[in-house]
Amino acid sequence: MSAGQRERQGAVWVYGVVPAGAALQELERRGERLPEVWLVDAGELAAIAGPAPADDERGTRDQALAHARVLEAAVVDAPVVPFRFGIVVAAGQEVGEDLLLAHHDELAALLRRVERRVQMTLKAYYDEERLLREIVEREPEVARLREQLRERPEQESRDDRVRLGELVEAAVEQARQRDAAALLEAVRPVTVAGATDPLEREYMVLNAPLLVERERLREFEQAVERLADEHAGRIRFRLLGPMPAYSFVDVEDPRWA
Amino acid sequence: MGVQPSPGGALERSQESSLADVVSTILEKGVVIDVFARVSLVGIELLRADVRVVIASVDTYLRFAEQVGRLDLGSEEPRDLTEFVGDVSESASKGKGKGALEAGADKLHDLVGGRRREHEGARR
Repeated sequence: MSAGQRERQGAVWVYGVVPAGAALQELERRGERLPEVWLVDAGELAAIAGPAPADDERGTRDQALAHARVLEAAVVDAPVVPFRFGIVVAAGQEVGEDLLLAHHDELAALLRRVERRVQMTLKAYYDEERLLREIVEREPEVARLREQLRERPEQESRDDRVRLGELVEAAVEQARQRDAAALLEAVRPVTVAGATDPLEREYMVLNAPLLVERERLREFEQAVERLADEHAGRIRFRLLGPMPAYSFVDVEDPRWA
Repeated sequence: MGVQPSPGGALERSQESSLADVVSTILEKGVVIDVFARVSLVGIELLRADVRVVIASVDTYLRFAEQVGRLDLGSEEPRDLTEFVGDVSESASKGKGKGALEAGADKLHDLVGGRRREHEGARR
């Protein structure tokens, strides 16, 4: 066992920070399905803490789920400053003294920033076949090349196939830019701020963390439901959250540009 | 904070995050307190590999060409597609339309089942 590994034994994983005295009922309710966590109070703050995981692939994966799920449960009842995945307080240091009190005002300011706000992440995906159909209809060159290539053996038409693929790729990208902009525009009136994260798959339209006022959550959800109805058959939507404002907590004054 | 499933089905709500969702949500996000070293956990690189973005390459183009090539344009809105009519009957007789539908189902399964499979496919 290396020195680093030995130090980590007894280390405390920090999930995030909530106001002292927060009643985290949902966290308690889901307790059985979550790893052991406890609250450490100091000043106006409380840290959600737990044992650091085993340092192996399985431990890391389980902890990734645990990190998100513990914080998701906590944010149901209280504002949460989410800590980045992998922050631990080593054995020999105190969560209360060395973390919360040493950084009290800074953390309290972050907590005020996320007060009454949560993150919702909107993911949108094209129906692949529907989009390709549209492209063939709209782009005469794509339609022409496509027809031409159907009769030719693959070996001798590689260059034209690449050319066709390039045209399709460019058309997908063009559609994506237009649709992503329209989707963001549609949720803008019911959100405080938004960001665009990297896409996770080829036919994804948008991967957007959105900052939403708790009070307007229902209104936001209705707006997304309308979007989903409007684009039914062409774009599928997934809505994740409420979750802590992972993508906005380090932004001084999050708002739409 | 109740979360209702959408009756329409075009919007999917999840009560709890899957690993794939979690990875793109939490990695590199959230507050860092400088004096506390972040642990470098074994396996964190593997998590990161899950969010790899597909980069356009010749393989991508060939795949796009193949996907657009096997579309069965006859099964929807035929009035706009009169120029492909000859082609439609040909592909229907070869059963290409079925292939395209099956591919669609596979993609949906990828989405539901998480991201791993898709990346394995993309690597080929």
